[in-house]
Amino acid sequence: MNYWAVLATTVGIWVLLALSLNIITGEAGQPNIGHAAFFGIGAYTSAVLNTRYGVDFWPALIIAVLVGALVGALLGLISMRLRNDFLAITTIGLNFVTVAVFQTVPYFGGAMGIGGIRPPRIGGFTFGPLELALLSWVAVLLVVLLNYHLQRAWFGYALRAIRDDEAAAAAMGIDVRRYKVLAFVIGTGIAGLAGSIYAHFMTFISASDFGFNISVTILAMVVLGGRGSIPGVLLGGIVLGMAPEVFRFISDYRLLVFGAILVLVMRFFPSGLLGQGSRLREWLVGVFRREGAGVHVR
Amino acid sequence: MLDEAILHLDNITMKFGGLTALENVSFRVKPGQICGLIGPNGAGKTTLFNVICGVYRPTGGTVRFKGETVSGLPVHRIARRGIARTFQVVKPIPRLTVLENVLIAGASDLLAGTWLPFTTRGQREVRDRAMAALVRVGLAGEAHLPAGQLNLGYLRRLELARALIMNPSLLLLDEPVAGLGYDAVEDFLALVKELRRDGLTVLLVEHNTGVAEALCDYMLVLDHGRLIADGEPGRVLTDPAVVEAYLGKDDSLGPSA
Amino acid sequence: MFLQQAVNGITIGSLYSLVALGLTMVYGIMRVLDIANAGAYTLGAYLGVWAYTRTHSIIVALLVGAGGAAVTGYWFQRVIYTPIKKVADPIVPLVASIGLFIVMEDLFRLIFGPYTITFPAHLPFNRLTLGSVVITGTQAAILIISALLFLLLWLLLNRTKIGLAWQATAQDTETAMAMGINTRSVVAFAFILGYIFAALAGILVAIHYNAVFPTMGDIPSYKMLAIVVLGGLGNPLGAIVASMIVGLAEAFVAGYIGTFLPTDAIAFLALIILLLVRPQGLFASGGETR
Repeated sequence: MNYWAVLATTVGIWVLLALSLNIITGEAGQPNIGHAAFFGIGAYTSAVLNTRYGVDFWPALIIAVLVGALVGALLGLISMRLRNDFLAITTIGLNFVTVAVFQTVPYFGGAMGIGGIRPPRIGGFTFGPLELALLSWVAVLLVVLLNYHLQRAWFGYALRAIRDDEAAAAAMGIDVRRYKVLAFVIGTGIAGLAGSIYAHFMTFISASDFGFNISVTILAMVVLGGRGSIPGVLLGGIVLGMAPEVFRFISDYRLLVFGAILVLVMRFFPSGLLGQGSRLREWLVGVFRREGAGVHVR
Repeated sequence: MLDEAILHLDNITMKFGGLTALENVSFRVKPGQICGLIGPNGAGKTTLFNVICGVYRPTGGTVRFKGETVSGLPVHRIARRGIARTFQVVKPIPRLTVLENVLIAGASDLLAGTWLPFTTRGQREVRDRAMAALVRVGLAGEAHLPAGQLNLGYLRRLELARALIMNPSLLLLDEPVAGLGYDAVEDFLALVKELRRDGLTVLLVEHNTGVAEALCDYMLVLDHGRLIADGEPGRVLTDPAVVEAYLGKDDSLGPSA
Repeated sequence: MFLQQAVNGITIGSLYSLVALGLTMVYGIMRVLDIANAGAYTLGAYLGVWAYTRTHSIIVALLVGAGGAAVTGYWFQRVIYTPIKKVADPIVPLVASIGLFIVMEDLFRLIFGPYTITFPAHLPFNRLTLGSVVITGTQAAILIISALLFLLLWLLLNRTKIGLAWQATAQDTETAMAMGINTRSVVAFAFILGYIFAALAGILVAIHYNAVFPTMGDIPSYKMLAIVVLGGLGNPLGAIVASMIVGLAEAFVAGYIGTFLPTDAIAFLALIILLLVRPQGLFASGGETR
């Protein structure tokens, strides 16, 4: 039972990360290959508050979200000056720098990381594996609902316009800077949330948990599943999140398979398995909805 | 009797580094006029448009719209005050549908709100207005196609619909019929005249003086960044300074379309 | 001390240049950030050490490494990048390149084993001592070979027909095609050359540190990104200058201060600060802002 609860929590956290990145890279189209930095910022914020200042999980969680969102706002402002490839590289750089800071600065535990983080509590009751799994999936549910709502609200339209053609969006009266920053803030805030849950779940964190390879995996979940497609991102998150367990039998070839999947999906399904325009998605839409042509499915 | 200008340019100068694109351009456009801005290639017509819309901040001079200074305001603020423009190179949002393109253009107020963007409030109403704008320009049938799939004539009309949904008082059209065939041009001109009947003021840049003459009540001629003539088309087109500006260029004066 | 660190710095800088040139050449021609280029670096090292152990000839090792990388570059371009490029979104080829890099690294691990192999090359250069500065045989080899390659590249780009075609294609592919240039050949050529440079760098590094291991491409892959952006994406001269700057900075920091931050973090930190001040990099090369 515990095994499944732990697996569920792990996958839940991955899915949260994927959904959060989707807002930035999927909906708003801003390349972000350093998302793990915000995951780490949230985790370390929560961990430091908890172990050094005795702050309980719930307030620490909120602060972790805010700190993640704040740094995200900075990145959003930076993204106004940088386009595409430059932005992508900057996010990678941010990831490396953040990890380096966590690894060397003693306040963050240095190379030893931070241990002894206490699990969440309500009253006198301490969360066990089952409760943590529930917590993470309740968070997933809330974030999914938020994503759907944002997609349908004006916010979603603005982001999609910016993603497709920034100049045209600006000319149509959209305040591009504001929406980009908002996209980053929401995305990184949720990543901070995931980080906090992670810290109190693992009870021990170190800088290497938040490296570039994690960012790549999160990006892979979004890109493989289909940028901008919530079911796609969910699929990507669950499949890749469970992969280490499910593919244990080929554990020695795991990286190889992962890399190969990245290449093949990008080659043949560039908008993701369930992204807009993917053949798989259109086939599925045809199977599940017998409506005529011309229905625009998001 | 409204004699106040709806658009007032006062000594507008625009410099880019060492290059002077516009120099001391001043004119007034009255409400309800169709005003044509003509001039040989490179005269600065599109630059002037860009200054009016806020894409460029003028190096000198002011732009006043409905009595208020707008020069120096960002693009989206000027757009929301009632100046709408179309582009020479049509920039739709390709993967969104035709309807969605117009929808976004029409929701600029909602998108600018603090909390409103996070809601779906007003979507039905704006969608109806968008559809109405599409009907007005004859694109209702294409509403659900991705905008990237439209041909040039339809794209120009989409541009117009996007401008119209913002309920502008002043419409800036940047070479709206360039590249269109004879029939499409005629249709478009008829459409513009209809819009004027609805109370819109139009300022258009037109390369082809024949088209401009057929459409406009008032003309401005730009050459090398300076305003060299303005007035009624018949008078302006026979003005010796204007004729000379066109001599030697491959544009030909005269009423031929 | 200063001069010694300067020599060390220029040596490291030269190595970085070779890899950075590979990356920037590919970017310049196709606007693709090819992380897999670092895989060619490792590939070169492995092929080089394999060839050297059989023939004991540096020349053969270099040729085999370069050859293998050339073929790899050609095929990657033909089978993956060119078809993918039709989708305008830049994140797609980037993710594909990361995938390729991961595949390459894991293949190296599976085929050659995860342990470090030595590359006991005997170079025909002797150690030079000039005053207080010592230049080891390997360093001399690196400096000379790099200099030759820079010269070769400069000649190629500026004095040959294909070089000019290259520059034209890098500036504006459509216009180049309209002028009758066979852009597909130019792109293939750019990839091949870029991968060869990376492979040669890999061999030299392997000899210098006497080590070949599957993940040796990790640090160069990300550090190169920072360097290439610093120098201006697509600008070969910028890549060399930026590489030298980073190489010298690392040497001096290591010599005088000791390592206080992992070196790639330093490179990226410098990059982020620079980009904030000057969003187009040190030397802009057209086509970055879009």
